[in-house]
Amino acid sequence: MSAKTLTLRYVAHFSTISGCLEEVYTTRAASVRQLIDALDQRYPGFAAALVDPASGRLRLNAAVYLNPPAQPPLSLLDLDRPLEDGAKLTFW
Amino acid sequence: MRTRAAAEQTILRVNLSNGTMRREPLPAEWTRQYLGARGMHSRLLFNEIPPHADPLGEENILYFGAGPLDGLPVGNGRMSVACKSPRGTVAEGSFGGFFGPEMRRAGVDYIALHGKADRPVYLYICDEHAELRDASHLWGLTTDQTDDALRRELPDADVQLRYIGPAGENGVHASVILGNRNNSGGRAGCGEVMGSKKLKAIAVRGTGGIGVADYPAFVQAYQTYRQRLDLATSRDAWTPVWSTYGAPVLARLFAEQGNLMTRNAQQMHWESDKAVRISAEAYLDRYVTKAKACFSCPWPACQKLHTIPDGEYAGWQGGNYWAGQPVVFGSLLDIDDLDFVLALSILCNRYGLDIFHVGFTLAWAMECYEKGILTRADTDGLELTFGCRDRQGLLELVRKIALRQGFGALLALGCSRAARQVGKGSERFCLAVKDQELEAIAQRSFYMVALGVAVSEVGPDHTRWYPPYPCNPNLLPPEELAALGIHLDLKKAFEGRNPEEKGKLLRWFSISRAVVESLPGCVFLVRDTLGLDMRPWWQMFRAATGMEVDYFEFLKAGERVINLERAFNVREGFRRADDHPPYRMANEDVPVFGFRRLSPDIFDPMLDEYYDAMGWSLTTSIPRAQTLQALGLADVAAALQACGVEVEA
Repeated sequence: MSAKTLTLRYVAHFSTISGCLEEVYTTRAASVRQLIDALDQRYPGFAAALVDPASGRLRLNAAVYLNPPAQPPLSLLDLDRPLEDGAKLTFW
Repeated sequence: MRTRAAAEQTILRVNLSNGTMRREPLPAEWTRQYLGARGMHSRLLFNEIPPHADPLGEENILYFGAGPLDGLPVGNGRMSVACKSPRGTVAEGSFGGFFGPEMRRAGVDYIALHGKADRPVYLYICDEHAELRDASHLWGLTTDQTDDALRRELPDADVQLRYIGPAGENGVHASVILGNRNNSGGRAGCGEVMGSKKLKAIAVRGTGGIGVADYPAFVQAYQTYRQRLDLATSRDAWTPVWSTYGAPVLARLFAEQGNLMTRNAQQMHWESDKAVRISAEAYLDRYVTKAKACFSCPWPACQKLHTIPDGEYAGWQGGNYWAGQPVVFGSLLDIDDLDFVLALSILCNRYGLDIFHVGFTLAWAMECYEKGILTRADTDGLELTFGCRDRQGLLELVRKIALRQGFGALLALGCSRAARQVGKGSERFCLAVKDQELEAIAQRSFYMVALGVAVSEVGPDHTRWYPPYPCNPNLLPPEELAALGIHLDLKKAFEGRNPEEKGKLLRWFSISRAVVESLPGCVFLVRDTLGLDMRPWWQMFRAATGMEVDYFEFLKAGERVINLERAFNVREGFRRADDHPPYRMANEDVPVFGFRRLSPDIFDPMLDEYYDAMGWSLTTSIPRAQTLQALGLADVAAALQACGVEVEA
């Protein structure tokens, strides 16, 4: 798996959990779900704020916006969506 | 003062020309038909303001109104202010705070201000007592000075106030009415009309209570409502963000999404570091002194008080940094200094100016300056560039707008009228509809917003259809939606740049929000399913008033409100051609992500779908006779025909 460089942006309470507003992050995560797991290692509580443990799906009171490189943003519903190098993600 | 039934609706009529006053009950059936607040105002405006009345003349009437849920925990202190706008349309706006509940405690649900005083006055109401008092000593004061002066004069800390600033006194077109120093409302010209009546302020104090008819049923419905809005249990991504950080979080999100109007919407993307500098997070870190919710609001972080701690504006105090300020004084003007953004906002509140009017008109002027249409000879020597290096000069210009002095006199007209005066193609940069400036939400990426802004009877006003898209397309299955009277494909409606279903979605949002604003409740709290499943609102209305109203009859009240407001505008000559996005949105593509302009192939089918769903003529936008008849508004059709308006069957 090749490394990907992502721009991650944390809004409101996610900026409290991560301790920053945005960062450039290099990862080998293949999907958004794997990225969230990796971020949970760095920022404990990150995954719990986003993912419903019962269903494994995005919580209804959280949102992830994904900007694939040079494309319009989309509100992500599928956490297993593959990640592309250069993508921007906003955790809301 | 006694405890009143929530269903009681009494109007205090004040004749400012001769100083007489009388209280009278409103017809009981009107509560069922129009609920209250905005709904009641729609009926009063149509019935009582003569066609083609001079908006600044004696015939115009300024109304302040509460409603059956005001003073109860769900009302959130919302209230309505309405009149005929100086632009000719309905002027109606909602604001929060504590004034509405205080009116009800004083036994007054509506105040109708007729005529014009011959000298500055303010209206003082204390329970059954009401009087007009001299306000010569208040005339010319800024809103914070007025607040201070009235609080010294009326030392009861529970007195609630509404007042205008110098902008309203001087006839600035988009002057607003304020209260609690920072709660503003009536941006469609209500402040200007109040100023034309020489009414500086209203002060109200009530000691009564509001009783509900069926307390257990009310509590049960209220608990459902609170669960939908709770940080932990809400099924809406907006709830935890807004309830903890507030609305300006949107600026950072929109900056990356092609949704942030930048440099007068010539661009729709703002550099991330700039957006960070004016973000909600930066605001909380440096400025906030206190959360200050409206009456009984479950989201204390929605509005806050702030102080600029140091620097050039050290000690300046204000409140309410919402989603609008980061756009109109930030990206739109390309200003990324939050001290200065807040200073502009504070100054607007002090002078009683509408921030959208000022922000969009300044942005129009900056683009004119950039393109050489305006020069320093026009701007009183100010170098009016985007980013604005002459900050003192820009603050002085805002003051001049309020006082209609120098170059400020041109900008006081608003960008539409100013553009018509300047000409030279500057109309193309003017971001307004029905002569009223836009607000913060982008149009070329949220098609329902474009449609909602274009058709709004009061001009651009996001509270008419908020939010810009359903919070989650999967929240309610289609069969449940249909059972609730919502016949549309919510998944298609959720797609921002798909014109399909936008007319039907806007119809639903417009009607349901008209219901909320008439109860009244706060439209910013229609989160989770509260904007789709209106049963908790209906149950609270029934429990509070004791009125047995069928759910679909309850929703019809919202439909009546929209039709009455439309009929008011139709009578004044507004037609389909007036329901159109600004030139830039209709003719220029977004320079990022390939978002298209709102060309006729995109916009016109949405407009047709909306008119068709509303039961209005596709060619004229006039409500059809059968639509009005079905709503029990046959008298409205007859009144339009009596004015020579052709109403289709």
